[in-house]
Amino acid sequence: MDEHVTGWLGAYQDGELHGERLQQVRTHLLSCTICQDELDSLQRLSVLLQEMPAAADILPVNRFVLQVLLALPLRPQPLRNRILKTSWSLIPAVVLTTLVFFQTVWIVNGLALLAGKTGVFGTTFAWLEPVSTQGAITAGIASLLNAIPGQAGPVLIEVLNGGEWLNNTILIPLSIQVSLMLLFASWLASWFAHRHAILKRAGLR
Amino acid sequence: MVVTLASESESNLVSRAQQDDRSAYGELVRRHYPGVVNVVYRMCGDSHLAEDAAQDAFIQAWLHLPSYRPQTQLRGWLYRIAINAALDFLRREAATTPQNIENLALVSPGQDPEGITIDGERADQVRRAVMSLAPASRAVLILREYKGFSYQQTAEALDIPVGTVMSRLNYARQCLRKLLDPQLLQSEVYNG
Repeated sequence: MDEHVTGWLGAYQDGELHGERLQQVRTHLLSCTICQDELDSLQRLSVLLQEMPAAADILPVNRFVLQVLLALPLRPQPLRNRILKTSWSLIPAVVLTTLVFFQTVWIVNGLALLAGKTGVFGTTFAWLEPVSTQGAITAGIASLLNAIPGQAGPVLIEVLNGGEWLNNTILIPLSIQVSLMLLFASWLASWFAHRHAILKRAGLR
Repeated sequence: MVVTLASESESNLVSRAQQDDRSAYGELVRRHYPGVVNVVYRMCGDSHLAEDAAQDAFIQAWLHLPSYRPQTQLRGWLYRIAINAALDFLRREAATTPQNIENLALVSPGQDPEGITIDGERADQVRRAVMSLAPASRAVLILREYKGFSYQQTAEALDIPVGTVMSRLNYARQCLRKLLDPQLLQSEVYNG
């Protein structure tokens, strides 16, 4: 008689044997009462286990689902997401700080210019008198406009030189302020869109 | 066309739940609650403990869902978490588990064989025998016997080799056959 196949009987019973091994076990079982008894015993054990009652007196599914949903915590965000999220939420603060910084600089600049021109403090604060960047900027724009062929460039330079708005330090502060406002408005719009998407996903919209 | 959560495919629900959609996750919980709570119950043998452990398992699954990959069967993935949750609960409530095999006293030597055919007592003997198994063997046995998992599915769910599944299952069955009264495993008694 072949060697007993007791080690394979569990897998045989579970339908996990295939090919040559399956054939070997089948053939052996035909002639070996010991292995047949072993297989019977395994099968009865399986039936005994199946007879075990399932969990009783458990919560109804709807209540359980509700209980789980109420207990769900917020998921911890990955580091990259946390950095992005923090940076994103810092944008308004950065914009505001930048705005305050520029306003302060312009106010101090204006006061220093005024004091220098009126001579209120004599020469005490002469070193504070700012170097005007306006001339340099105007010169830069003028050189660009000069590059335009024909009469259009010189005409535009005349307009610029003659315009009060370019020389009274309004243009640059205004453009910076507008840029910062636009940046803040874009941030606000995307924040609203993001919030709307979250509420929609949560079924609140 | 209105698509309700109940009619939505499992992969869609998983994908939505991975993006923090709680209502989609609620539907997944609804679908898998019976299976999970039964696995946990078989692991710890107590309904109330099973409810708590099942809830804990679903919370753990929610936290780890973003790292879940659809290549793995969701059911198996949840069962693995459920088994671990049940083991954690058992460790915390060690008093609920039998301390050693001797305490099982599955059948007294002079007991009438008729007596052990009473369903309640037989079920209790089997339950205690299952509970006395090592957790690793018990988990394999439960997935195979109660959930009908193949060896491959069990191996994937528990992240162990197929050969280990087979050896643990053999070991669990051998232990149970030693622990249970031989009369329970005889066809005459079984047939009643």
